[in-house]
Amino acid sequence: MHGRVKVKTTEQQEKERKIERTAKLKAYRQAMSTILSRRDEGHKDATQLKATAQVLQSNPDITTLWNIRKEVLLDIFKSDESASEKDTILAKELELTQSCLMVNPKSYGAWYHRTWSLQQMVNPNWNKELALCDRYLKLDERNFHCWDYRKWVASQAKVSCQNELEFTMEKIGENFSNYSAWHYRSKLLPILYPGHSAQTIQEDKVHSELDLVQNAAFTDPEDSSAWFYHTWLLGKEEERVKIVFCALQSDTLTLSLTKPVQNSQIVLKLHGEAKESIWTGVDDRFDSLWVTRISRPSEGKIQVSLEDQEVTLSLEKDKEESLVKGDGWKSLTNRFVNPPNQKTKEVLKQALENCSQLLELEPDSKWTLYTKALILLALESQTNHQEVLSCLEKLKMLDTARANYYSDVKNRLESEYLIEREEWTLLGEKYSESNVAYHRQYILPAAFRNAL
Amino acid sequence: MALGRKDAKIPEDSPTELLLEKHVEFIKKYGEDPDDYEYAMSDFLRMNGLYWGCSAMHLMGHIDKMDKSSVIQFLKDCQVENGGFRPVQGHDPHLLNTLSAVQIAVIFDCLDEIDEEGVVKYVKSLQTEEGSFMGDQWGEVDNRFTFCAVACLSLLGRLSELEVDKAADFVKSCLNFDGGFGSRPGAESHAGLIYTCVGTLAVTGHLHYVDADRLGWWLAERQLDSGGLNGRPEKLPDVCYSWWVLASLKILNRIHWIDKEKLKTFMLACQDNETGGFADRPGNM
Repeated sequence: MHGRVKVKTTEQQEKERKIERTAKLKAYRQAMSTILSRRDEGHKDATQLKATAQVLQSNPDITTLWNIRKEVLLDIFKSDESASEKDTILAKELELTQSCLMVNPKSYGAWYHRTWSLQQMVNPNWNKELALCDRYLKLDERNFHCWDYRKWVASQAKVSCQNELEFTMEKIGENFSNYSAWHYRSKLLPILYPGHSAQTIQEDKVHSELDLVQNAAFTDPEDSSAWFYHTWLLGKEEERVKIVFCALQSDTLTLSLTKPVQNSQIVLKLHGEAKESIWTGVDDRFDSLWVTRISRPSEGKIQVSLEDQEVTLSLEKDKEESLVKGDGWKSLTNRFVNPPNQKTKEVLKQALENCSQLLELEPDSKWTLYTKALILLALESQTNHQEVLSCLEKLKMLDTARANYYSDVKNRLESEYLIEREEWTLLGEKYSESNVAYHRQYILPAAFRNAL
Repeated sequence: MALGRKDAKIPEDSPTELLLEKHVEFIKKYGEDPDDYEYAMSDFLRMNGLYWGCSAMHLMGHIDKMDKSSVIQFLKDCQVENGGFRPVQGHDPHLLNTLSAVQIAVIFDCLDEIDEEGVVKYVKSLQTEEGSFMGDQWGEVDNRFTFCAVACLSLLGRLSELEVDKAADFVKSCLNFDGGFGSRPGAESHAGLIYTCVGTLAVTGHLHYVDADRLGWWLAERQLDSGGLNGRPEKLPDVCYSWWVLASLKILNRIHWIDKEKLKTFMLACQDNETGGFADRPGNM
């Protein structure tokens, strides 16, 4: 019962409505009762099809009625219908679902029955289905049922990704605020222009998309659609998991990783021999900080490995504590945001300039300001640190509803700044202030903070 | 404030206090007249409606006002031989109703009154090779059903009967550019589906698949100037998203990213001070 305005009616109107509704209810109950009892009696015939169609026209969400239709149709198909007959019968299902969709374009039941019917057809007309999608998207460009249906039709009809990409461009051209079209684009680009890892795009395509999205965003800076897409383009690639450090203190071995892994994946070797070990973390199975107890030898090597990563701790007599850094150690030259190459730097600098200009015209545009902060971060996280923080402070006042979000972003960035500079004491203080525990796996155990 | 942004208006005379007693009455009355038009015409949703009603009554501390014995009888009448639950007599079983039924049984602490083994068997039978779940034998796949399945068996303490990692991996394959999730791979992010996916990952111990900051931000941006939440960008607010969005943020430990006071104002304004109950936005039914 969404989207229905409460309207005051007169006593007379109420009376008339009640009479109308009583009649409707009676008819509905009668129809349902007949359909269901005939089904129980085993009737799978044209009468059932006619009766269910009538109720579905005004009540397309009654799943059981669609089920009954499927049962009847499958029964009809059992007898030797030639291919063309089958498709003619199923064409009626397409007609029915279409008229139901006019009543409720968001009816799960109607869309699924249409899908099911096409799957049963011998020679479905995919072009007709694409045309249907076009029509429904013209009525409501955000109807996700229709977008999902379109994607399914496109895959069945073997429509090229390039074609679909052009379709998204068309939709975006009609209206920049078409989040659904931007979303579809985000799925097609990694297929058409794949980058180095899954779900990434070739660099020069990222650059051209940035150009496109900036045009869209600047046309209506208060519309969020293009800005969300913009932040995605600025985002960094996901890296494979790396070891941050492995530390031994007395008989306790701590393993820190950039991302959560399963403890079952960790391999421990003492003097070259694999040793069974029980690793405990905050979570049972997946964590980025694991601890185990070992009966430590006075000398020799401890190796810890995970997938293609391995670190070795060389033990020395009389040395209680020992630590080794892994590839995931984040210092000034190995940051939380991958430093951009020359070409990307130019593109980002232009984007930054564009944002700054827009901010002069619209100083209160939170999207522009937030995006500016993200660009500054992508360019040079250390150098631009203070400027990014002051953008976030301003955002807390511009966009008060999300003040806590911006505070947490600040905390996270401050942690990253300190981690890169290996400022362990300050980091310890910062960690206790934060609402959300960021980067706990980078916080060095106290015993090692001065030694490094 | 920008002009022309899709949002609801909060009328001057909107309620500002929580009208709890009226809501209790609203739910209690609902269903008392079996010939009430809205009630009767939504019989195909009865099991779901009953869950929402019981859950609300329980939260308000008035579960005793529901007729426990007739609820139990209703559950028993709706379970079929394959273990699944119908929404109401005569209709077909479905995973959606099966979850609602189990949830109702848990609220009334009467799981022993239903055929638990049957439920386990039914839910198991609906998992596909790739880890997703069909809603029923007719094959529709959707993450709403993934959640129904894992939540159902989790409530029964039988989660291990499912291919849990496969279910989590299916959800992972539905991850979008904005950190959100849709109903199937490729589907657009939507707060309701995000709840089902984040819920699934939480129940199956795979929350680390979520980029909590990215998704948390997207969810925080559902809050509009009126204080209400929408389900996805550039849509009107709807009070139902107070549940889908907030529950997701809570699971992600980022509920403080929503302005609580503004949301409260919106929600209180959605109340109907005549009939009790809430409308999707102020001024609606």
